[in-house]
Amino acid sequence: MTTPTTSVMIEPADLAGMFDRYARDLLRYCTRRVGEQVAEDVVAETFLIAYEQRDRYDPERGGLLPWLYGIATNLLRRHRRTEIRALRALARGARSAIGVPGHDGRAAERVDAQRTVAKLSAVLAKLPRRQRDVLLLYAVAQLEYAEIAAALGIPLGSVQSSLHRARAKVRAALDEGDAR
Amino acid sequence: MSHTDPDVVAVRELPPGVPDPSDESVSRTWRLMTGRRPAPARVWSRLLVPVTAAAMVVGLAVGAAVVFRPGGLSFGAGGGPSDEKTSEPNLAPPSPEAVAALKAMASTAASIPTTVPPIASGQYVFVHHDGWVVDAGASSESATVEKQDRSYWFDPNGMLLRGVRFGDDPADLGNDANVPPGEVGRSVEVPTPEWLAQLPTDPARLVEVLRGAMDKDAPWSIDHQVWSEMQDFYLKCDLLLSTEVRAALLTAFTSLRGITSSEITIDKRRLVAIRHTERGIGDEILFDPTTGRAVGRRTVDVDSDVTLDPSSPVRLDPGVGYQAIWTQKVVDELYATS
Repeated sequence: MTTPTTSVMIEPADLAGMFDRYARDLLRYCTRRVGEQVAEDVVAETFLIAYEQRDRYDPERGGLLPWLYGIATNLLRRHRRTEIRALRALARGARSAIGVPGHDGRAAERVDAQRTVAKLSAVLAKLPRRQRDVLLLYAVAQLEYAEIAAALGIPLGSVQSSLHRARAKVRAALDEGDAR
Repeated sequence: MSHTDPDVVAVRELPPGVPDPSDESVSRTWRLMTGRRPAPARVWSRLLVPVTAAAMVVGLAVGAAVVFRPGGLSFGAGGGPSDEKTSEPNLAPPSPEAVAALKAMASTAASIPTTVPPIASGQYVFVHHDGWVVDAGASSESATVEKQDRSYWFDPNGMLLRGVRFGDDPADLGNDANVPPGEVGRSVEVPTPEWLAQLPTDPARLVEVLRGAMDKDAPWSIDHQVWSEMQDFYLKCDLLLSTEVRAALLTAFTSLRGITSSEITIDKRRLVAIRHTERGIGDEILFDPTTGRAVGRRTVDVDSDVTLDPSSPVRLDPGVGYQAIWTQKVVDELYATS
């Protein structure tokens, strides 16, 4: 998680405090998934839902931030098509930008980077929903396994297996890129 | 496996070139959220989160802005926002009407000798808060209002919130016991009766003290931060202000940029609303012109096109998202009301 802990506890009843502490983390996560505009809508809704459902928050089951990530991830499912379209567009754009590599090293690096983006985007677009959620909560939100389990309300073993399968596909795509 | 493995980092950086969330993005999100449900907890965030973070929250709560129409201040039962945007931040000079209203109230306050009630350790400042908050819902342009009948108990040693009741129900808004003891009694955020008593009575020096306590790196004007802070300050402290400090504060405010005023009526009571507007939100402190005391606050969304549901139990002026009138007294124990 990217938000440093402090000695001041924030609770779901403190809507402004929650927002102050965690809005950037959630925006970072959601923006990478669905773009800035939709992300702002999702994050605003996330905090309102957290506030409305504050009685359901159980600190013994995990921290407040993973709980918020869970709400946001559920909301992002409404925008699954947007996310998939964006990933496919990113893959297409990156592929078309590859072109013919130049002879200097920097040009070659740029081509490699574009190729990686294209491969990764295509892989993410094809991942089953749960695998993508788990992978992005691990990679972008930087949650730990137990936090992802709490956020999504799934068993720890499911997190591990989903993450393992998703990363295997990502690594395969990256290896394929390196082999070119 | 770790978060720094190359494949994980590659996923994290997709799409490439996406910057961290900007202040503008955070601000828009806040406004989206509060537009759907104004956040009454904002007041308390300043007590519950670190000072720098809290300053940001208050800043975020104020988006772009509008001032009252020059010279005109009465729109039915109260002042309404115009459609004139301010700059961001709002560096407009205080309106002549606001300066005149503040000077008049300063003169009135100075002419009414008041005795600051003694308050000892173990006693509390009890504040009864009679408020309304507009719930605009997710997409509806017809809003409902929610009554906020609340009671707060503040420890005079830092004016820290120690007890809350929503109506008759105890409520938990967190606690601010973690404020470092060294900070108590050293600033407008955590004042004590002793700190209040030593405030300068020279308005120019007083406004320097207030401005000096604000975050110069915040994306909001210093004077806006001062005004936001004063909303909280008056809620907790008006009762403990001496005649001289009360008058000096009112005079000091005449130098704040972005200040406007209007006359409003709430519950048949004529009040003067002094507003600071920045980035779309007007933050008001409501003063009783017969005493110069602060008796309430309002928040006005100057861009709002929300109208209240016809069945609303209260009439609020256009754009008002939050309105509260308070009373204060010193009590001998937590949760006592008299």
